[in-house]
Amino acid sequence: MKAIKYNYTFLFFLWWFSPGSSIAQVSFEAVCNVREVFTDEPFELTFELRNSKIKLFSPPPFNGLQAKGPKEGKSISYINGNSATIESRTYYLKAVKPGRYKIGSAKIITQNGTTVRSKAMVIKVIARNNNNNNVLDGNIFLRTELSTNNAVAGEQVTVDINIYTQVAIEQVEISKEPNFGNVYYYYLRSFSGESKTKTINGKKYTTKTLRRMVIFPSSPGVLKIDPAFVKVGVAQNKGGAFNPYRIMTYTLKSLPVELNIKELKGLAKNFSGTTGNYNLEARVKKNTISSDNVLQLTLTIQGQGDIKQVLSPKTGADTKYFDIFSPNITEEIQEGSQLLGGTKKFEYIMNPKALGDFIIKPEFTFYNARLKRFVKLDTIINIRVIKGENNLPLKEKKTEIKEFTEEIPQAINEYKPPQTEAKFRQKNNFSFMGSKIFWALSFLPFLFSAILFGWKYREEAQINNSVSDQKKINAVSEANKGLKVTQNHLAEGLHEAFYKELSKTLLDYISIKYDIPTIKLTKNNVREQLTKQHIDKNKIDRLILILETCESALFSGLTKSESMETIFRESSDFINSDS
Amino acid sequence: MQPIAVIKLLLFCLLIQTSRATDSNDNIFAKALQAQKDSHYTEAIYLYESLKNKNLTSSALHNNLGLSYIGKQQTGKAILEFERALKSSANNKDALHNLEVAQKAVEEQYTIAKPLFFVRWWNGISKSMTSPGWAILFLIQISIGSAALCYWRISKKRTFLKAGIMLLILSLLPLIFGFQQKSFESSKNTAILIVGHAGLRQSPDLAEKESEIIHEGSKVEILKQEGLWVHIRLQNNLIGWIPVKMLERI
Repeated sequence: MKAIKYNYTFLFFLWWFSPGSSIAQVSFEAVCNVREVFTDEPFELTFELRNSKIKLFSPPPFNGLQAKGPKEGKSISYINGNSATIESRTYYLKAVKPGRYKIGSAKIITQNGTTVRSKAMVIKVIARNNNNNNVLDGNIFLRTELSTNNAVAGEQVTVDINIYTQVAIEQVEISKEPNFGNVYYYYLRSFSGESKTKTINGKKYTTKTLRRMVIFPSSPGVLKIDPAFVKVGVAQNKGGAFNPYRIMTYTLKSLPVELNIKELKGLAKNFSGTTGNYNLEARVKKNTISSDNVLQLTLTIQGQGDIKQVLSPKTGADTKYFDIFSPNITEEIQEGSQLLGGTKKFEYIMNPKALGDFIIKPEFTFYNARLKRFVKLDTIINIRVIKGENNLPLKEKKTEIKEFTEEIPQAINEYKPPQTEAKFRQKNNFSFMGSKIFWALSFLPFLFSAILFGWKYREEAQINNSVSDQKKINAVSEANKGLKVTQNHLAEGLHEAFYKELSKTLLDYISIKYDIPTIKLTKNNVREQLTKQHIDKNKIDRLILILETCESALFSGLTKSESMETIFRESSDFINSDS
Repeated sequence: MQPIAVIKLLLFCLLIQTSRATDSNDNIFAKALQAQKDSHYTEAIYLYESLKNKNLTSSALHNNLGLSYIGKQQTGKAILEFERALKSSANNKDALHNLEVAQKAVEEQYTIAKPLFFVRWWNGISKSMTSPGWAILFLIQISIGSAALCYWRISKKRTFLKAGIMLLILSLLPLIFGFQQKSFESSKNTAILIVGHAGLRQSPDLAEKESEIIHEGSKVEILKQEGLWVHIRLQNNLIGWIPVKMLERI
């Protein structure tokens, strides 16, 4: 048991230290093919993420550089026996003005949720010397050439980047391919162009196709194909004493080209939806099957064109005699004859429903752009269904049964029956929720409430005002009542009661008449409030004097009847002069 | 003629015209229903589609169309129509049942982690009404709430103050549900695979190897579209590209 344990430990260490066991390191870096470029010279910048998948990619700030892209890519690299997956985003950049351009950090969130950033880099852009290309004038040029300038939708059009030269070229590098926008394109990897000689305007040029791409334009209209850029190295006698020949690098640019795409008119019956040139091969596993067996039919479409667009061909089998199931489809894209094509296989399983001899006529229709017509391919297969374990009717009897109805799949019984009532409404993009009408209607209740609250507030204020006014009107009569009581006290010689009542009457009168709360009825406050209400200063002084007299009389016990009468008169004058 | 009489005549004409149009749609629907009951699915699909082409929508229309596609063994399109029926009315229990049955027929089903119970409840409540329904409920609630506050201001009864404040606070719920439902209704980011099966690729390039096969009827989330390709996320969170024509948005 112990020996086994040691063995496991040994195996673990062996695995741990083996080169393949190390956990693949995730890395993210920016790769640029240049550090110095000329103005208007495109260059590539690729961001590569190794050993992880990109969940979210945020491009860097290009700070004045013109950027196109990104083109997404994925590859696997093998270095010293170790493999690494690489996911990339490539931009094509160009600077119009010379200078130093800083490309900031790109950010990636990997599938594991980790955020990684690339390093920023600086690209130096040098002004192009116009005389630089003189050596090229007329000697070397680049052309983007199409197999046709007038195509129909779905047709395969080749796009060749051809170089024409009269001088020896040491190096060639494609720095930017044309951009095809939303059109599906494919770069033919197996294509290798051979050098040829062509005469243009009486001059002989050696020409070579540097790259061939095929495009499948699907929408009618005019497709504008951008220029391609190619760097060429030409040997020139400008070197030093020891190396007289120096390779000078130039950038060639092709002219943009246009492709007119027309729509296919007059679609043929059973059109497969594809344009190209195809062959149809139909094969059955067995021509004779028993009633308890199934018929296996394989239709193979092979040829040149966008194989992905090929839809299932018609089997040509009568559904009265066969149940036909959805085919199993496999496809393979192939390059051949310097074009793109492929093979698509449709494997049908058909269940016989009758005994007898049958003819199956598979059919496939496509548009041949070269012949400019629809081509229908068909073939005939004879099938015999013999009696097996399943009891099936004879073909003749099956024919007699008039089948007006389509076959009901057994599974439909599991479904709820169709609904008998439908409330139709027009489909429109208008949504009431969040619309202007909705917000206006939402605002209305609050508006009404605000109006009602405002009205109610004003009404209450008015009521309060009228009560206050009434109180002010009544203040004089109330004060006169008080004065009468005071007069009685004066007549009876009740000094203290006289001053108390007089003081109270005056203060009550002031409080009501001038809206001064009882608690604030100090002399200073009274003076201040009455001054604020623009009451005559002499009158205020008179009042304060009366109040002070009352106060001092109450404390010092003043008993002069003449003084009391004077004060009473002055108080009466003060009150009644206001009314 | 009096202006009022002219208006009355115009309204009458409008009413007649509307009822004629409705009759016509109802007739087509009835014919489609009859064809469907007689198992003439091709005819039923044609008639239902003709109603759709009139820019009409109805949960029952989509449900019945889905059933017709089931009759034609086109599970992908059937699932698409059941999903549309539920999008039109989340309360259509028949459509929900039919969708569940149809989804069983999808060749490969992904196990999807169920959201937490309160998320399910929240979503269930949100989907119980259409967004206009929630909008109307919100308007009714704030109207009653405001009326209660107004009545409190007049009568000074504190019960109405409490009721009004409560209703106004609670009115936030239909507002939130309404916007959530609106976002669901207007979303075009989900789609159904309507062809037999399609290969999922890691880049929009036919030369790229297929990393996964998706089967007809699978529901996917569309992340972005680039020309003829769409970047999608499967229900098991797998991401990749497939040609756009293989999908139809719900």
